[in-house]
Amino acid sequence: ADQYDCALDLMRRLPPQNVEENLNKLLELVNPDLGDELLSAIDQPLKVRHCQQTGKDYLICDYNRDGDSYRSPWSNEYDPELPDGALPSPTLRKLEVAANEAFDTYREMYYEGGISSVYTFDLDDKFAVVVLIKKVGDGVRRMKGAWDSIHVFEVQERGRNAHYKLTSTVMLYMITNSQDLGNLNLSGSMTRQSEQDYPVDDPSAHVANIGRMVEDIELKMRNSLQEVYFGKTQDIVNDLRSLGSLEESRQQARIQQEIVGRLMERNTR
Amino acid sequence: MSTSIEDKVKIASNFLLSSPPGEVNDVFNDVRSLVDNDEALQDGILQALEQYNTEQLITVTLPELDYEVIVSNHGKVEEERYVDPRSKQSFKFDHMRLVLYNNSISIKKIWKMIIKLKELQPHEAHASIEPLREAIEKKAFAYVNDHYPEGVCTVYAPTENQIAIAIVDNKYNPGNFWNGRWLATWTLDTQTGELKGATKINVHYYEDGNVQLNADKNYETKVTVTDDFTKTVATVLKEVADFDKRYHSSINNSYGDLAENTFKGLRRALPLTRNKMDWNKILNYKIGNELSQK
Repeated sequence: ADQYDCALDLMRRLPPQNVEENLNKLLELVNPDLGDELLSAIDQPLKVRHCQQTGKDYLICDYNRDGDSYRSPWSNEYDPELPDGALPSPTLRKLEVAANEAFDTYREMYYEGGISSVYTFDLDDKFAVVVLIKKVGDGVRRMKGAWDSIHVFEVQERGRNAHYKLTSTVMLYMITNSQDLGNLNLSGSMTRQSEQDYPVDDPSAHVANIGRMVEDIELKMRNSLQEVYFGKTQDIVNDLRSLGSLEESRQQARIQQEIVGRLMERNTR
Repeated sequence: MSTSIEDKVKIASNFLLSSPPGEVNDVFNDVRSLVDNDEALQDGILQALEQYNTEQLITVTLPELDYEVIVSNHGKVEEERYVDPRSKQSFKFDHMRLVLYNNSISIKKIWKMIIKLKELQPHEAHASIEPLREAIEKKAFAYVNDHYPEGVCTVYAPTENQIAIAIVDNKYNPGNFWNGRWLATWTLDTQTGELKGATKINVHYYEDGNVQLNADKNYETKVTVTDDFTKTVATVLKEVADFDKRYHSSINNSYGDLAENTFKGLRRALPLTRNKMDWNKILNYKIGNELSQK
């Protein structure tokens, strides 16, 4: 089987609690030329950097990286300095600034804290927009949680419309420990995709279109995460062990069957 | 600089040990393709497989018996040979069996592995502790039957002064992209009365993602071991049952807490306004002008 597919399959099975460690080990296993492809395909928890010029924090990923330097969305400069570092075109940079401001509001309204960063870059006949959001819980009552959103857009302008292709990943980590509980770690990620066409009357429309798609997909994913994390996995735990006596429920079932049997007998007489 | 084959096999072993319940075959297939050197891989991962099987309390059914036996270190008598205390036999267990058995290999080799399993030998129990072991076994089976829908339980007496209880319950549903395992081991030292338990729960859900629950808890207490071992048996099983009940309840409560507090504290379902964002308003208010001027 294809090395790339095996690598991706492996990352879907290894504990998401150790995704960074696993990815590093995986990169040692695969052919070196597969390394870059895997780094951009496999999501990792977002890391934070501080923009010295503006005093604001930003999130880093492959999309704002050039070599070993990262570009701040606020100052548009690389850290460490990179005189020939890749920059978005002036048009895209305008879009980037607008998007960062808009998502700053979005982030505050939904996450009441956290950090967001938006990056744009040119592709051949399209452009890409990446929206990153990170929120770390306050750790109250010994429960540590973190939410990472990674939304990657491919935008194709077609006259007065644009076609948006979105791949979204949300990573959700929850760790707790206590005297009663021991250690409990409920972590992982989910990925969804979406495609839409929207009118683009002027460049600012891109921000609104992208904004709506992010908002809609995060709504859906939040619901799915809730269902899976707190519904499905808990159901499975309770399938593995029954708090109540199984003997009693079997007994009950037998009694019920007997009653039903007798009732049916009565009716046929 | 490329990685040496030895290091690659080490990484592969490491990954195998982290396999979610019921997925060790899938992980094996993946690493097999990535390492791309079957000979080195097979030689290097045997130790990891043994560790995996015995830690995860893998079960096996012996010929002509209708119950499953847990393969654990408490039952190890020598390299690749384990005890079934209930039927008082020991069997040869090939750790590679778990992965090779499900991959395409010749019929001859599969047959060979089954025969290995048939290398049964009678096993003499430690006479002094055997009555206690049998009594605990009886009570433990009843308890497991009462609380673990598909539970398997094996009770060992590795020495004259030790009892070990192993419990495991598995639920496999790869068709719906999930698997789960609850496992527990308890050891009793009849001389000191120390009773130690270690419980682990693993759940993996992987439809359009990878979500895993990893929970574990240890417990230690002391019980009085008397000559009238009916009392000892009752005390031991009561400790196990009470711990399980408390732990299981704590897990359920944690879920509620995580959902109601931690999760909500990360991201609201809707903003305080109870409405979705008005994106046009945001843009017009802040930066609409700047962008419109090309």
